[in-house]
Amino acid sequence: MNDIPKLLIETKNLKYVYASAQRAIQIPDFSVSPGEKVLVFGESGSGKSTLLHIIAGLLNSYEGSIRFCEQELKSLSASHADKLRFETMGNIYQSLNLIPYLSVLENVLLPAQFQGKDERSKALHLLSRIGMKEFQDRPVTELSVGQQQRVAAARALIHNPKILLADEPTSALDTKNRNAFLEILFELCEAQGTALLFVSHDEQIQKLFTKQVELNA
Amino acid sequence: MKLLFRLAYKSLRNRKMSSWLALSSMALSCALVLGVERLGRGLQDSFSNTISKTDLIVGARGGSVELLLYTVFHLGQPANNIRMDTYKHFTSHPAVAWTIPISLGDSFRGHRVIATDENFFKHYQFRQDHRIEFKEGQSFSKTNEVVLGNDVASEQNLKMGERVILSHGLGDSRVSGALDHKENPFIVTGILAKTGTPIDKSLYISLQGMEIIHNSTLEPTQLTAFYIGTQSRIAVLHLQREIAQYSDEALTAIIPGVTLSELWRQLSYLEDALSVIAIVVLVLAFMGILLSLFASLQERKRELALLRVVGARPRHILLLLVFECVLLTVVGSALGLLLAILAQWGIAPWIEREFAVSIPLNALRPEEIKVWLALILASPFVGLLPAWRAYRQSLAYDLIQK
Repeated sequence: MNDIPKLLIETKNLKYVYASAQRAIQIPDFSVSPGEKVLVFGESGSGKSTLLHIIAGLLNSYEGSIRFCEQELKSLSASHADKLRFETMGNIYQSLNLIPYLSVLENVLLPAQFQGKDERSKALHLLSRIGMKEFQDRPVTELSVGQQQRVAAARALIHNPKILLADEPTSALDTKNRNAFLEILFELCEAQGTALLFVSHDEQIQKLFTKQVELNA
Repeated sequence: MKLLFRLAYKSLRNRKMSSWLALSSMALSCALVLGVERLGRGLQDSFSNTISKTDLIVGARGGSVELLLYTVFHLGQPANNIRMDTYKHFTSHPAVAWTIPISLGDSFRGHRVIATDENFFKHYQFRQDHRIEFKEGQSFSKTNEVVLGNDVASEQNLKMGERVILSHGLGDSRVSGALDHKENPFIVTGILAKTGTPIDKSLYISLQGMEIIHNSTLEPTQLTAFYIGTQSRIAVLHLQREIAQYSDEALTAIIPGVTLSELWRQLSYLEDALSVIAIVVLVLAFMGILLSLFASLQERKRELALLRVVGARPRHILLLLVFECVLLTVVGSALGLLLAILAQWGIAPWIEREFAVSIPLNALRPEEIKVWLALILASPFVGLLPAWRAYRQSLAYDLIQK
């Protein structure tokens, strides 16, 4: 884990054929280096989420090549791929990111716990960075959407992933909350050198990213 | 493991309604099974406690269960009587410590009348070493006196000093007034304390009293049966053989305990039926749990997918569901045991009072613990059913898609 790969993600001729809709998306070749902030943008339906799911290993029926930490994803066994994914990736989704019956702190700790680590002090540190420390024992169902997304960001980063996959995490937020969330997210990623692969249809935020991948339906 | 257990617990708590229903079905089923089992055991105990310390019961040659039924349980008809000479012969037998003569033939409003002598009150024992006691009055001393079993007095609302008219025959003679012994009314001189045995349901008169109403003489020549207490237990088998081979009259002698268990074995199909019902009830309880877990899988797709995203492997999801089933079973069955014990506490005195069946109030017996352990050991395997479905679902990665 100490040797940092030069490229976290590298795709070639990546193509996904929707079985039901009889259409395919072609994804332009791109790569993500450590610490880089990459935006994947495009209209809804252009396949942004599909791309993210392929990278996250949630979809397996794609064509072409995708290398993850310099290993061909398809060449790994399912459990090996699982392990690699959990150790090197964090995930944030559009909404409903948190386990409803756990407290704020328990949610943040979960990924570390599944790896058998106790990251309590780090979790508290992250919570204070996102201004949620006093909420640590609250049920997550009591939080606003903006607060939930911030907790989700802390959870996604608790186990020091190399890359954070964010699937339109700001789409349910208003402009003010969106900007605040992005600011915190960038700050957290930079603080621990985590690369960010951010999917959005929001063109206003393009300039904040170091690299952009545009998908066309 | 600990993490998954905590998740299982919190997830169950989050689904309060369905978890409570599953718990209740398990708890009620366990309470029912335990309650019925203990009631059955109480029945068996009170059954085999009907008579004790009597070594042999002797009657005319016939089936041993029949002899036990018409002497101890006051059920059925004796086929033949035995001669008084025979009784006298064995009364003076050196191996015999005491005897109780019994003569049947009359009844009072469906209750049997048993003609006997003072030995009955002196020697008859039940429930190990309980003796017959008088609640009021004393034994009959004249031929027109009668002692009532406790239930007879309360059911027929009879008091000391009242006159009762006995009827001929063992049946319910309320319809056949013609057979009443109207000319020989009996006076109540004693009422027995409750025994919780068939003794409560009968009336007791002297042998001479019975002889008078039937033959107008004082010297009985026949008996229905008699009980024997021996000098030494070692002599019982020998004496039993001797009685069976008695040349003057064809006799049967039974050891009450042996025949009681023979009779109980004949009733064992009842116990088998109860066991089958118990198994079905427990299966139903598991089905309640399965129903709640399967139903939850639908609404928990997102929750389980999220767990996968934060690092849970498919086998963790499998274990989570298994743990949930185990938790519901352990907590549900423990609640059930508690419920059964509380209920028993509440109603056991009433059952003992009303039916003379005492339910043992002791802690769990090894058999009960075995059933409980079997239940808990079965629970992870039952849990595998919904767990397998969840496992398959969590392998299909596209779950996370909205």
